[in-house]
Amino acid sequence: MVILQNSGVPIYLQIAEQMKADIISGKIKQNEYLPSIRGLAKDLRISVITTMKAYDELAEEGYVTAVQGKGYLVNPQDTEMMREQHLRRVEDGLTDAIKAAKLAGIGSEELKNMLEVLLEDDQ
Amino acid sequence: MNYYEDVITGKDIHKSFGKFTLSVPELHIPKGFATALIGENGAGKTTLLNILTGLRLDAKGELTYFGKYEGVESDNYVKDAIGYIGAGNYYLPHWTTKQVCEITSLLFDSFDKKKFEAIADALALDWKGKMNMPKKVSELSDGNKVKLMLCGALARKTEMLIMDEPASPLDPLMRDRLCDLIREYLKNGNGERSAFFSTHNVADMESVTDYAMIMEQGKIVEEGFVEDLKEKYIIVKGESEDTAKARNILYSISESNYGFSGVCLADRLNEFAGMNIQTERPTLTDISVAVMKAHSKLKLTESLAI
Repeated sequence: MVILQNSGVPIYLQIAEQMKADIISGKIKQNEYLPSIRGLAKDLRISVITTMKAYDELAEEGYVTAVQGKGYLVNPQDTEMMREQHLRRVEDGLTDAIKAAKLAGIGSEELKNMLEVLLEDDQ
Repeated sequence: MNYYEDVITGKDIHKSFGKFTLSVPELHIPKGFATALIGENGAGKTTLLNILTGLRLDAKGELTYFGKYEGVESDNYVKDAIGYIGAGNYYLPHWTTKQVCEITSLLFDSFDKKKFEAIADALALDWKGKMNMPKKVSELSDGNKVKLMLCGALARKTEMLIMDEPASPLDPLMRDRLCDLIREYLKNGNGERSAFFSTHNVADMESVTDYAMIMEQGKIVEEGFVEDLKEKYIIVKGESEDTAKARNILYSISESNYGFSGVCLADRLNEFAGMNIQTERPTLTDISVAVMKAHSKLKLTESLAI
């Protein structure tokens, strides 16, 4: 796991995002416990509270469940539901882009072209 | 953030000398975490630590240790379970390092000589594997005195470390190592061990600090889990034409001809509507400086014509 100190993204979010990706990809397995908060804090050389906040974030979004006295257990992932969630995020992003384009007087052809160019850049 | 227990709970702690008064109506040091006591010189940090460790017994108030012991002298266990690393002459100056080891072993049943040697070796305490080092404590540098105290404390079975400015005499590499040692100490305690240390080098200890208490003129003026404090406060920067308005909203402000920069309570951010501002998530150092500024007796804005 790579943690950047000065990226502008809070460290707890960086951890949460990377763990989410690992859970979705199966690198972190279902029904296993995440590393202990104090163990991860030591390994990443960050504070215990930052690790706890990252795990709380994962628990809030349903990726893990806090088990009192034992740690954070990775929940079975409903892939269908997760795909649905991601679709919604993509739709939200595109809707924002359309709104911004309208404000700037950018037509739909131009907008589609922009998307094409960005997609090419990404590959 | 919620936590479950205190390692030390204090009530109505009070101590005056001369013009100075330490007054802490409520003290809660969370169990299982690293807590930093932050403040200016003379804010009362050492006084509070000395009260907690029993080095000063003339203060008023109630203290509960480990959830059940009422007062530092109430049971031998309290002092056995606390490892103290202090600023002053904790070990007598004419003791040799060998004597330090022998005396610590007499005082504390849980002292492990092998561990002491191993830690001394790991911290490169000019030890060279010899237990009969004739060097006296008074001949050690300030940094090595801290290292020696760390060895003495970490070679015992403790539930808590209390450290008075441990980072100050250390070089940057050793400060880094100190943070690692605290994290390892907490990790191996699995939630049952805590650390409490004072510091004015907030930046050096930031990466290990879970809970922060900011002290000014004998009072704790702000405290909380660092991740919560980072959401309570926000850094705001803006142009000089808005400085006057910003002054009324910001918790603390630095001004120049080119604009302002300051720390604001996050829930007052909406009052900047209509101004051209940039915001940033603060570090613990930013928050500490802002809180200290708001309470300090230092005259910070006066130009001194020097």
